[in-house]
Amino acid sequence: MTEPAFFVLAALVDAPRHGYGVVAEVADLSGGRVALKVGTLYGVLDRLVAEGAVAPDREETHQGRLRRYYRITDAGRDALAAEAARQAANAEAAAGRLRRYRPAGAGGAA
Amino acid sequence: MSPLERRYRRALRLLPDDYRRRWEEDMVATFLEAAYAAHPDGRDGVELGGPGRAELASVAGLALRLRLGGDGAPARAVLWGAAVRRVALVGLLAGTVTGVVGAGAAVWAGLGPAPPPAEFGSTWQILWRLSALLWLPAFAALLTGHRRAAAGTAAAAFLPALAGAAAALAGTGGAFALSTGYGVLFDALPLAALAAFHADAPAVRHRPWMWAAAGGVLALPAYTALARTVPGGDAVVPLLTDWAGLWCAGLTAAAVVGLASRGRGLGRPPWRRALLVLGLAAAGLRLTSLADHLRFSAPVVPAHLPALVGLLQLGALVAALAALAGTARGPRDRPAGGRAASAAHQPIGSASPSV
Repeated sequence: MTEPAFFVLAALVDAPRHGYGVVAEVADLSGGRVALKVGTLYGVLDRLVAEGAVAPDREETHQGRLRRYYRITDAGRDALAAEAARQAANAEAAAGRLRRYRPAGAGGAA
Repeated sequence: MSPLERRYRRALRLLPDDYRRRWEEDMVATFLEAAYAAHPDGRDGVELGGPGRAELASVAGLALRLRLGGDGAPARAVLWGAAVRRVALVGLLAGTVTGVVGAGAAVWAGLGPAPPPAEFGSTWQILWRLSALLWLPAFAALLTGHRRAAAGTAAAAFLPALAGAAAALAGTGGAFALSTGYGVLFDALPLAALAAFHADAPAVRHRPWMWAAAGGVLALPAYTALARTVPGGDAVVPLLTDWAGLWCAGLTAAAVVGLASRGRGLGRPPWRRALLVLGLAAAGLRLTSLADHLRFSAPVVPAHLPALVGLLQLGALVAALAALAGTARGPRDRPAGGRAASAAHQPIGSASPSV
């Protein structure tokens, strides 16, 4: 799973969101590190909808423009949970190594 | 409609029609909302501007992935993506084979007991020849999935050829300008085709391509040695062994193998498209270089022989390609609707390339 797809799914976990809502939520979730461009977002959304991980939720009109909301599906939630577990395991493995690390001069294992 | 919206919608025309029908209004709404949110105090100023470079790049990248598809893309896009990736791979393969063979010849000429033949000339020319070896790491990087490294190294390998063409154009007062200019465009084709190796592109099966490179390194000297035995001497040999001649020979052979494979190997749809694209480009290379050869090269006896040989090369290539294109009418060629896997949707390299 790519990082943009991961964040888009994560942004939809608590509530359906429209396009800009996803962009803003992803920026918030990533601490401002991931600034989704519109072309990237809709490439990811198109793929996630095709895979059944995301589905259209409803449409609303806001200031004369259509807002289409998307929601995460059960399959999308499962995929996100599996990916989060994988990343957490990777992070824990690396963190464990770092905790046990002692510089060679400090008498620990290098 | 504000100028900003108009400009953004113009950029969205890069996207395939069916994709645009599904997503355009949504994309425009999201883009405008993001643009206004970024400048909460200056809505009017925002509306007079245009989309930023990063937004345009994201649309262009999306268009590329959709049109030259990878995994999960519509069947037609998958087919074209697979074909364009083959164009890039064949171009890098050809650069690798000629680079290795040329460097081998240069080293042999430079280290041998006899002085280097005149065609190898100075140390600079030998170094120049060795620079073509850069195609080898570019090709290897592409086979091993390092597409950025491949593109960078291939661009570096292309630069000496570009500089050489510029120097030749400046030094010859316009002679050979047509073939030199076209030659640069022809060599740039595989570089441009590297764009199809985007993040969604499937991995390349590297083993058949490695065998093809090894076979090419053995076959190229054999072919040139054989070409030198053809009756006609200086009237014929340059046309058989120049860059256009080598491409014509390789692609004609590949098209014949594709025809004989009856829908398998080089006869599969992405291979047919790749060979057609390369073949048309190579036909242009032969035509332009033949025209310049006839105009500017020293006259030979008999005078009609170079034109005859060049036209025969063109005729053979065009006939083989036309026959190959004629086989592209079967049911297996018709792209299935939606996101179906097609015959193209197999790892590149599942057929041994023969060029």
